[in-house]
Amino acid sequence: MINQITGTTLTNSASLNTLQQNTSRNLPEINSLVLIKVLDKIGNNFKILINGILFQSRLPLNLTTGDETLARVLSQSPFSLTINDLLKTQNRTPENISLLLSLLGFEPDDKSINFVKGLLSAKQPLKQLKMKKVFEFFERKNITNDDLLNELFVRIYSSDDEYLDYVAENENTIFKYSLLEIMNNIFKSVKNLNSEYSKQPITLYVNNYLVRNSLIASDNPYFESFTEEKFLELISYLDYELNSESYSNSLKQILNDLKKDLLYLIIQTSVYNYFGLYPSFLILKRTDDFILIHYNSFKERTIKNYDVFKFGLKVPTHYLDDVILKGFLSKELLYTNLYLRKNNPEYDEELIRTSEEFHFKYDINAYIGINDSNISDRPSVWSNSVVTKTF
Amino acid sequence: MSNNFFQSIAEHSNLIGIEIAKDYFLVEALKNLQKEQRDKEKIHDITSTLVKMVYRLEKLNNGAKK
Repeated sequence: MINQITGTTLTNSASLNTLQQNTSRNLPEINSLVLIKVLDKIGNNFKILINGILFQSRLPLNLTTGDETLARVLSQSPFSLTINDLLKTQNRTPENISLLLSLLGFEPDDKSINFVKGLLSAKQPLKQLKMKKVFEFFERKNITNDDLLNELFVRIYSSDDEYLDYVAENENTIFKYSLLEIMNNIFKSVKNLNSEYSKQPITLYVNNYLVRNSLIASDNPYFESFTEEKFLELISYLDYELNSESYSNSLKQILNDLKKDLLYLIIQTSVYNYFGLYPSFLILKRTDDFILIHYNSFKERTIKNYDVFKFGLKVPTHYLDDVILKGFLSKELLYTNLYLRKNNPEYDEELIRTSEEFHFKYDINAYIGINDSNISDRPSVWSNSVVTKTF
Repeated sequence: MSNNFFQSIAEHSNLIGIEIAKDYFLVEALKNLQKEQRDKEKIHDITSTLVKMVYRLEKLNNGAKK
């Protein structure tokens, strides 16, 4: 049988409302999850199957015939569902997310669980056909544990459908490598240049653009303007050098690889920026070694005309493992949390000293705290997770 | 982003098999690169200061062990 809609217009995309119920059937219990399958679409109306009961309704999301999505029952009378608030934050465990994936016919694994966790945080409905496109891309590209790419895909999924198709169409060009791979490759090229060709002027030139010898900006004037335009300058210079100088084949190979990776970096960075993510990196020289530092930031919201950015930073160290920092930055305020083992009482003095540095150097009030944590409990730099410590 | 930047990146990108001029989305994305540039540079500077702090913490920790 088909229940007729009672005339309610769905203006709020957060819920699927007011389907007239068939009282002769038992409707699903409040807070239970139901699978919605689209049988047919006629104009703006959908014929849908919810747990075996047939309904007709407008839906606040674009689904195609055969598509499926999940919803949580809000009330039975009127029969009301939500499609983008399936699990509360505290219930988003791998086990519960695996259940959601299974209901939609997917085999849960780390990648799909991580992705769905991102969708739930972004309050996105779980649309089976759209999710399938993402998982197929991950599978084809053999993506593992790439939280940055995951974050990008959550944003692409949340945008128009055409962007997912765009990524798939360009997976062998623009998206041939992930951004993390590109950053790692640039880092490897810099290390190779410095270990095998340290006396070559070209190595010093590359270092000027990409390596920070100390963390004082004035030591390295190029870092004052660390932009894609500077990367392009370096690409043009490498191009010129490769065409005019007679380098050994192995050095040419490193320079060519570096040039290509910088191009991929600019192009992919533009895609990430387009979706509001600003991932970047630092290459740091410490006494006898080079260190790659990743960081990410994105605009969280705008308050009184000032943008607030959320950021994450991973600093590899010898003695403290990978220290993670997550926080917020606005025009006059920095609020950050360090994730490391707090096993030294002198740390507090150092935090105060750094806060003062922010105040004098940038006119920023800085609140820096430590979240005493083991390496396994530290959050990802890339994910949109909430800073838990309060000050 | 300046025209020079765009033209230059379009020329170089043939090297990796990408034809930017024919890619409407990429043209838009590259044009948008400079948006938030000042904020990106500020975050870069802030990041550097925080990295310095972490290495000073490491030094404290390492000093305490010795």
